[in-house]
Parts: sequence; structure tokens; C-alpha cells
Amino acid sequence: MTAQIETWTHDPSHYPEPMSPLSADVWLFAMGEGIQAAARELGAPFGGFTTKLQDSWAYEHELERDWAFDPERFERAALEIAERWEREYRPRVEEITAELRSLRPERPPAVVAAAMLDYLVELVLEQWRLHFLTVIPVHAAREVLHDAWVERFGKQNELEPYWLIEGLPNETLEADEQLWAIAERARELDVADVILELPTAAALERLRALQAGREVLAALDRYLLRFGGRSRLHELSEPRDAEDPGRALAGVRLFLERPRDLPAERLARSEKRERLQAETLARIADETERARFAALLEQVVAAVPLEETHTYYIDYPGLQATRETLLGFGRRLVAEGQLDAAADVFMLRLAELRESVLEEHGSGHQGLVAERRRELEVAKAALPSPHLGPPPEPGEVPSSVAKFYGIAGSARVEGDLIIGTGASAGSAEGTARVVHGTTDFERVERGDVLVCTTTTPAWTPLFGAIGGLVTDTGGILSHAAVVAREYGVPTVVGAEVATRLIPDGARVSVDGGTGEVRILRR
Amino acid sequence: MTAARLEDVLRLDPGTVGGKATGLARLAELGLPVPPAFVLPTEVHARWRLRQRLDESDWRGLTEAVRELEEPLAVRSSAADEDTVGRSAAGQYDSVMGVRGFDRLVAAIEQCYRAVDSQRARTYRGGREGAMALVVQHEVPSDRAGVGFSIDPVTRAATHVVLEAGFGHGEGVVSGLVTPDRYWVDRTGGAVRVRAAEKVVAADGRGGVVELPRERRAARVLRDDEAVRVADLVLEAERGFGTPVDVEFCLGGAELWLVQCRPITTLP
Repeated sequence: MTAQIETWTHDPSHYPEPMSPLSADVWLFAMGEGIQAAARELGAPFGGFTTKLQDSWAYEHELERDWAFDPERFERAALEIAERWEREYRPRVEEITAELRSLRPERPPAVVAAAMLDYLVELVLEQWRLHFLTVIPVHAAREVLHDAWVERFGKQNELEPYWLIEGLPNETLEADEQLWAIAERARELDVADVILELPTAAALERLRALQAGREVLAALDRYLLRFGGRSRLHELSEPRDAEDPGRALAGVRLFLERPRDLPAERLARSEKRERLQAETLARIADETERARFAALLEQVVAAVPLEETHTYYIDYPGLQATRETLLGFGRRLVAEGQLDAAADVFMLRLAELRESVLEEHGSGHQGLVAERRRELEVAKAALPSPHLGPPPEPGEVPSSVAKFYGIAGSARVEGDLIIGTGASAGSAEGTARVVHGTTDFERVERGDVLVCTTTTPAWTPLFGAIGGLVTDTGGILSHAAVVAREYGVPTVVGAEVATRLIPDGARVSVDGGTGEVRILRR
Repeated sequence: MTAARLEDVLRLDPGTVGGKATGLARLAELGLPVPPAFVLPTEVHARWRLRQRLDESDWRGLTEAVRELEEPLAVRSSAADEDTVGRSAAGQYDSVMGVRGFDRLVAAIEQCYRAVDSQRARTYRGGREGAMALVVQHEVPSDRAGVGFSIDPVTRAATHVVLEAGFGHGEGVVSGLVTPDRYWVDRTGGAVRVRAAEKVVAADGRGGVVELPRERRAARVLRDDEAVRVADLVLEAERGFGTPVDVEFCLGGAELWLVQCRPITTLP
């Protein structure tokens, strides 16, 4: 064993669960390669990171950049991202997904199938480069607005500059609105009781048996055609929502439990934002100055929805297509007797998969698969060490990074009180529902305080139903924080130890202003 | 004559080596992939019948012949008439697979002789004609196997080759233990049409079956390119035999073998 000389850190907000070998070799690898290539292309102030798997947990190692930071190019990319996305990135990203979907690795001779696997890896690499070419400028655009605001108005409140860009329509909100519409339809057709009263599997079965139920299911299928790539985690071995309609149905149930009017809420949000925007512009006396700020705001407003929207072109359908194709390789190996189940393919390393494809009807991997599954179980039971090698240098975290990831070690615990970062004002008291990434949302009841490591856009159906939110990871600009503000859910992020300290079912109070989470009754 | 090498079989009276041996010898002569084998002609069986054990000279001949074969071995009957009657009864009663060691080989040969004789006793034919030739063959590993017909065995259409294939050993498909996939391969152009079957079990080649993992049951046994490869061999055999044929094949890994071939002349 050699000593680690580099620092590798575990990022629980992106990798809250242990990762399968194939997911690491295909997706995690593409993350590192993608961010490096994009950072270089953008002349970014950071070098990106490289990735690896250690004991089934994902780690990142920060890289020194070997280019000069080019603030002008970086800002230009930030302000032009919406236009560039539409013109260049989105069409290519869609092309890549279509290409991934067209691959059918069960069919061709071994040599062709191996070449297909190489091609898949290439496509994923390109798609994730485009991912970071989009996401980095979007984050930068928010900071451009933040700095322009502070320069003109000073700063009373950390979140104030961001109010101007909250409540913008995006695909996550659209997905939720579709689920909401299905809930409304179920109510009209008088089958809401089936969804509300029965466990998911039984509800699906009952709906299939009723004409009105089948109408609801047909609507659910249409939703899944477009948004079925949503999943709790990026992990490729995790089934996507399309593979389990029960998950989307659980989202419908949450909307039924708490009747709302999403279109009206959307309208109210956008009116509020427009009002705030007009007020802000009115505060700038100088006309040229005002026009300049208005132009900048327009570009940032166009960019910000991409923060959510890009996932509906890359993270969800892209990885869904990647998963489907890798499962095709799994089916191929099942047909050859090398695996017992297609999903076992995710337990192989990429090189092992390639070799098995070429070997054709080689010796079975059943033993190896069982061993790897055991390793994952062991990793899941233990927590990852927060870093490998020498501890990371304290401080020196760029503020935009801290706002997204939070600052490690900043949470405090005093008895039954956990103090994290207040991310969405307001207070709530309710039953703590500790939900892990892969767990079904079925257990979450209206008014619960959701306690989790992190959230992704696929979690948003919960936001309308919960009373409060506590996450272990993330800063004030993390996904959970932004969405919580949109939905007006009192939220504390970066509470670090919340999922470990708060027992499921405990009574807790949340103060999204002060960042305090208190366990009232265990 | 004790043991005849496959390449010598065609010089012998077909009546003394049986249909299976003749078919294999012709495949080998055509340069098609046939596992190494030798044949014990009917006279060895006839001599065995007299004392219910192998004649001294046959015993010695066998020692010589087997030296060239890699284990495990398969001992299969090769009756003169067998391959023109219903196939399913044939292989089942009088073939022994997975033979290792000389003593086991002798026991396997005797087992075949006894099976044949007791069967013959029931369906009396009488006389020397009932003596059986045996093929002793290197048993190639088989994880997929089946039969191929150079014309449609039902419609007799000569537009495509029909294949039936299952997982595991060939006896699964031949004996009807396994419901096989069916493949229709266009004679010209090689377009493939498939009807995959739900294959719950695979034959283990020892008379038993093993259950297949659930996800493997509906998986295709042959990819398109593999079906075309098998069909090409079936057509080569047909050209060589100068008449429509049916062929038994098996695949060990990606390696393809033909283990039997006979003309389709008796079909109605």
C-alpha cells in the first residue's frame, strides 16, 4: 500500500450513495473529463477535478489549472450561454441522446459490439463536456448579476441579489405541473381515492382495472415519455422513473394530498419577480446605467433556468439512454450465459465488460458480480471518509463554489440542536422523514420535515407537500435551497449530520432564517 | 476390423458403420468442422454379443484408437436405419456422454450395446442386422446447440434454412426437453427471422436439465450473424451431400461444430 500524496475529497451532494464500478468508469469518469475540458475552454478560474472510486465511494481531486484565468472570456460565456445553448449545445446534446438510444448492442458480432461500447463512452464524454460548458457559465451568470447588484446597491442580505432571478419558469416546474395536472384529472375522474388510499403497487393495479384509471395511467405514460429519465441519483445502476411508474404516481399522490393551484402559483411568482425587477431598475437613476443593468439582467434571466433545464436534456435522458444501452450489453452477456441478469452489467468495470464482449461466451462472471454487490453493501453500511490523503487546505474556497456546495465543517451541534445554513426563511414543525436517495417517496406525508443528504430535480414533487426541509449538504445556491425558496419551504441546508442524528419519525422544528434544526421529541 | 478412423469410414460398407458415422465422415470429407471421432463397426457388437464382453482384439484396437482422442468422449449409436426413423427416440436410449478413462469407455460401449439389444428384443428384427455400430467422438463443450434443416422441414420450401436452437447440450433440442428458438435464414442474402421461445431449462448432456436464470430464458440463443454462420454450414453440407439435409450443430463458446448430418429424403 502506498501513501496518498494527493488530497481526494468526497462530495456527498453529488454522490450520496456508493457507486457501481461501471457507473464510475462511464459517468464519474466523464464528469471529471467534462469539467476539465469545459473549464479550459472557458478560461475558468479553476482547473476542475479528476475522479476516482475508492471502496465504492466517489472522490474528486482538485486540479491546478494550467491556463490563465480569462475573466473577459469567462463572463462573455456566462452572458451568452442561453443563446449558445439554443443554437449549439442543445441540438448536439439531443443528437447524442438520439445516437445513444439507437445503439442496440445485443445484435452485432463481438467486434462490432466492442466498437459500439467505445462509441458509447465517446458520446457520454462529449455530452458531459457540453454539460459543464453549460452549467459553469450558468453559475457564473448568477455571480455576474450578484456582483453587479452589490456594486450598485451594496448588500443587506446575502440572498437579495438572487431574488431577481427566482421564480423563472423551467423544466422542473413544468414536470411538476404535469404531475399536478394528472392529479387534477384523477380528481375529476373520481379515482383520486384509489391513488390516495392504496399502496403504490396496488393502486397501479386498481387503476388498470378501471376505465377512468386507465385514462390517468395514459396521462402518466405521456408524462414518463418526456420526463421518465428522472431519477433520484445519477448512478447508472439505479432504475429511472420510466421503469417504475409507481414513483411518478407517488408524486401525483403528494399533489392530491395537498390541493394546490400550480398555474396560479407560477403566475404569482412571475408577477412578484417582474414587480421586483421594475422596482430594482427604478432605483437606478442614470438612464444609460439603467439600460446596461436591464440588458445584463435579461441575459442572466435567460441563463438561470438552464440550471434546471439542462438536466432534462443531459442528466436525465442522456444517462437514461446510456443506462438502456449498457443494459443492452447486459442482455447480451445474459444471452451468452456470462451474467444471470442484465443489471449485473453495472457490477463490471468498463474494461471487464469490453473484454467479456470480445471473449464471447466466456466464463461466467456470477461470482465476481456477487462479490461486487457485497462490496457495495459494505460501503453503504459504512460512511465514506470525507477525504483521502492529506486534509484539504482550509479556506480558499471560491465564494460561488461555497454557495453551491456549502462549506464543510461549518455546521454545529449543541445537544438536540443542529445549526446549518438557513436557505429559505420561515419556520416549521413536523415529523422528520429521513429519506435516502434510493428510497421511495411513498413514506413522505403532507407536512413532514424532509431530512436528506441532498436533492436533485427529481425530488421536487415532494416540495409542494413537505412542511420543512433539512439537507446534510449544499449552500444557499444549491439545488435544494433554490427550489425550496421557489416553493416557500422553510429550509436549512449544509446541516452535515442531520440524516445521522435525526431519527426517522422524530418531532423536529426548522428555522430557515437562523439555520436551526431542533429535535423536540425522539 | 476393430476401430475405423473417420476418414476411412467412407471406404467401408455403409451397412457396417451406420448412418451417423457415414454422415460425419462425409462432413469431415467436405472440410466442415466435425469433432474428432472413430467408429466401432457392427461386427464389434456382434462379437460382443457372443460373450457379453469385448473380444480381446477389439479391446486392443480400442486402446489404439482412443489414444488419438481428447477427453471427454461421447459414445453414440450409429444404426444403419436409425437416422431414417424418428430421431427423438434414437439418441436418448443409446448414447453416453462425458466419458473419461478407458474403463469408463468400455462400460459406456457395453451400456450402448445392452440398450440396443433390449430395445431390439422388444421390436424384433432378428439376426445379425440388429448389430449396432458406435461412434466414439471427442465431446466438444456445448453451451448452445440445435438442429438445422436446409429446406423447411414442414412446408419443404427451399427458400430458407430453418434452425432450432437451445441453450446447453444438443440433446435438449433433439429430445424435445427444451422448446427451442426457431430461426429462418434466407438462402440468398441471409436475412434472419426469429421466433424466440421461453427456454426454462438447458440440457446438461447427462440426461438432466439445469434451470436457466430468469432473464436468460427469453434471450436469443443465436445472434443474426451466428444464425447466418450456422445456415452457411448447413447449405455447404447440402451442396456436398447433393440433397437437402438436416444437421445437428453445437457451439462451445464461439466455436461451431457439426455433430451429425443426414439427407432429408424420407419426409412425406
